[in-house]
Amino acid sequence: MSTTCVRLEHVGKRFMVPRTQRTALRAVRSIVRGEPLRRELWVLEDVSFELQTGTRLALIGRNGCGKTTLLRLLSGILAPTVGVLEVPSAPRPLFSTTVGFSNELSVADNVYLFGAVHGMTRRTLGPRQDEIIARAGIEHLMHAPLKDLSVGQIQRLALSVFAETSGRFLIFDEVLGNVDRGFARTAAAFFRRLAESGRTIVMTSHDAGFLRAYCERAIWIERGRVHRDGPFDAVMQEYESSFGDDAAHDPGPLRNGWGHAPEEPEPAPAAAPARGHARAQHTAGCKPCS
Amino acid sequence: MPSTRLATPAEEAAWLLRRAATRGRAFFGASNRALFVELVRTAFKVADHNSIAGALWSLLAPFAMLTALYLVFRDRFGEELKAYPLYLLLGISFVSYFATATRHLLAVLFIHRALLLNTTVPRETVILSQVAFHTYKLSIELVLCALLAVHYGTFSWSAMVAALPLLLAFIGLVTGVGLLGAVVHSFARDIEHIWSLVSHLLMFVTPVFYDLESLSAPARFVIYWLNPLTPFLVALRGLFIGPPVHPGVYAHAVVIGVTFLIAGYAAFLTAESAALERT
Repeated sequence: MSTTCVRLEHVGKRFMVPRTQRTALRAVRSIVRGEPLRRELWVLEDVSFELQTGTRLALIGRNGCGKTTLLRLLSGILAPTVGVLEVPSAPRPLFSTTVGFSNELSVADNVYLFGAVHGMTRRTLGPRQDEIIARAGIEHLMHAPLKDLSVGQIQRLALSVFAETSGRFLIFDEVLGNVDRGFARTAAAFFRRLAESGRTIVMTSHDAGFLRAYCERAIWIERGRVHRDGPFDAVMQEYESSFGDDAAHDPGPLRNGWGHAPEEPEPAPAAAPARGHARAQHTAGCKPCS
Repeated sequence: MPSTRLATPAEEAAWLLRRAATRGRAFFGASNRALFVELVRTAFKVADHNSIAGALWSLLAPFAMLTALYLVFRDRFGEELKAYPLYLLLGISFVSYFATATRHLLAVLFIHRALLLNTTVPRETVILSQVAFHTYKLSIELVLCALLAVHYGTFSWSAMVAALPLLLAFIGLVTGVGLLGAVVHSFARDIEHIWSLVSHLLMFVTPVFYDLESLSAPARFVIYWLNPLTPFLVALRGLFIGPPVHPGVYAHAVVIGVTFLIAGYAAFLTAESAALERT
């Protein structure tokens, strides 16, 4: 029987953004003049949904729409400003494949360090160290410092170590950005195993094909709010067609000079309620919510 | 947006205590212990280039300072103060540890921002791994102080046992000041430069190479009561060199350590999210 793994009710997240560059003198001057030191920026507003155990959910949306912030709330890294957030089982998130390593240590040592950052001990990883490094395809670099590896190789190592996690609720944020086609096949096998294992998975990616292969449900986040929530194909089709509408008004991909479409502007700050208590309930170990 | 209300001070205090208790339980969990060990191990390997020679190099600075101060001040203070090299080494070790560890802790949220915002690593684990790394260096210097005490015939095991709570309180002081600094640093980045200046001055406004008794009464009052390092140093020298200090000095030092630790941690728990979100 499936149980509720995540419940969000009218969750909102507000960041307080400094108005000027932070120095002690400027802070004192602002206080003396009665000027506010920071301005509000609502990144998520009124987000409500439930997730049953074993669901594979894709979060989709444009850059800056609040996907990563929502994943950080689910992981317990950030606390909601308002609303109710309940996550009974602690998730294991993978936000970045380069964070959690030390450039100065060898690849072999980094397996333990990255593993420890993601909740694995030397006792668990020790017997599997060779296999982990071989799976990443860098066994010839086992004793080389991590700084000698390319970004793609580091990403392969990260995914290879993370594949050892025993977490029942996993979160992935754009983790297959730089891997080559060969390792993409290995990663695909890993994600297929995950999909078949009955674990709860929440992932984001701008690769619709990747998400389609593993997710059954999608939530489209637009300007910090849930725009659509439903079966993956239906939501993705609507999301992709929204770009078609934009294309008519788009001045062209080179507008920002980098060959990419311009980034979505930051959402405008909304009127904010007074400081209050959001109810966030994570399991023990959750940082801000405990 | 759902309606919200302001929390009362009692609710805020209860929330802080609950949060600290939950964090404490998480901190002593098995996987977190493993993470703590890995972070400390990494700090050693990176700082000392994974070599004994690297570790020895990092001990060179206090001994260079000891030599310089001894050569300059032995005629002025060395005659009056018993076991002057030991007296100097204790002062240098304590002040250097305080200055270096707090300077690192000040920027800990900034330096480890990516780790703290992209993983579920408990923030306390990252902070305490930094404290542990610096404490290890202090421990080596204190072992050398104990050897010097043996040489001067002032060593006693009971004094060493009595020094342990004092050292723990001193680590508490360093952690508390570091946490307060880390929170302030998130909102005013230039505090790093101000703190760097303060830490340099500490060598002179703490009785490292001079004796409190050699100062005028007002100066003695200021340096003892306004510099939190002084009671620690006076009490520790009493244990290592003698004569034993008044128990009030010992208690004063322990109270300072505990108070700063509690204040620093409370400030950190209150402001950590705001500090990290936009560090």
